[in-house]
Amino acid sequence: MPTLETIATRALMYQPSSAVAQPAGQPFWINKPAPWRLEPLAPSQTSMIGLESAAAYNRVLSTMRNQTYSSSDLLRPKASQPTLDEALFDAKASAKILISHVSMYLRQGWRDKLFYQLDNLLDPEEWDPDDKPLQKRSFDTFLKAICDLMPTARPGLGVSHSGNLIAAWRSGNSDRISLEFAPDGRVKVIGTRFIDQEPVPFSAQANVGNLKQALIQFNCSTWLGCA
Amino acid sequence: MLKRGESLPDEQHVMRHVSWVRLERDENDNVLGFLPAAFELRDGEDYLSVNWLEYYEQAHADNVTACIASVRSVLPAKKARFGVAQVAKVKTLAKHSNKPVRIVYASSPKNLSHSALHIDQPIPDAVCEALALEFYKQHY
Repeated sequence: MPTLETIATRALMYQPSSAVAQPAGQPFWINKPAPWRLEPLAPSQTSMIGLESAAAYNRVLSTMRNQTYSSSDLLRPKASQPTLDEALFDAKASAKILISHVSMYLRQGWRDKLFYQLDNLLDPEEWDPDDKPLQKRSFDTFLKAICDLMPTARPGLGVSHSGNLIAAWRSGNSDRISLEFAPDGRVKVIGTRFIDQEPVPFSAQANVGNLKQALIQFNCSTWLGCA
Repeated sequence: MLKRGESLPDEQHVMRHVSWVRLERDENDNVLGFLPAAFELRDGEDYLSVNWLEYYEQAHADNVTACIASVRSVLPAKKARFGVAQVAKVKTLAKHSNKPVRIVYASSPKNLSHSALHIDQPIPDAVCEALALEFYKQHY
């Protein structure tokens, strides 16, 4: 059962659909006709509902009139920022939808494995709030690369500070490569080859269209099992 | 004990916190290493955050334990890992230009052993990769 204060508050905040935006800072009932221009209760009304309820009504009315509102407060529901959980959920959903669009081009088992990896990767309890959530277009670049390269070896997944997907592979002799997929189709290639047990780092920039050439150049395409 | 802004001695050690999403993993999420992205700066950052192990003035293993506990009190993520490397080695690997690499003590009230690794920017990808491999040699 709503209290009288609640009812009065709702009445004061009520706006008909035809309401026009007020200038910022002005209560919406200024210069508006009844019914949304509310008045303090008259003595005869007070006697009808009792002193305590009337006092509550007048207190709410007074408070509301002393508050300031911007037109955006009054005419639109606030478009609140998504929480971290919501942002990660949305990112995960977007990525899974993209996977479902190309699943017929993926090798057997890849779809389910990517779903599993995304669930583990976009974990709100592990997420640094300063990091951007996974960017949909970055994931799109990743899928284009996978559909083009068709590697047999499945990558591990990570995310950069800016929300770009990173795919990483290791060879049997500990050579490694990580590919960071930018939303605009560029791919950052970083890796290490071990030559006589000495690490030799390498790096390059490629476009998703010529990524295979870069992998061949760094002798990675064989152990990735690229088609 | 060092004062804020003083350089860490070359023979001492720093620890780097690496979040779950920047761990190198296999397809089954077994951890294999640190990604080079763990050593990239965010937009607007001008140093890499590390923690000075010898701040705790105990044996090496106890310093590691105390340092991890301290960082976890600020960053409670459970699956994050920590890498340790010697100051001199880090400075050697991170040097890629004429500008010196500096690791200075930069404590904050919530993170008493916090230190700053200043590297000339932009940090080349190969440097990030070398640091990722070095810090993973001693990881927790």
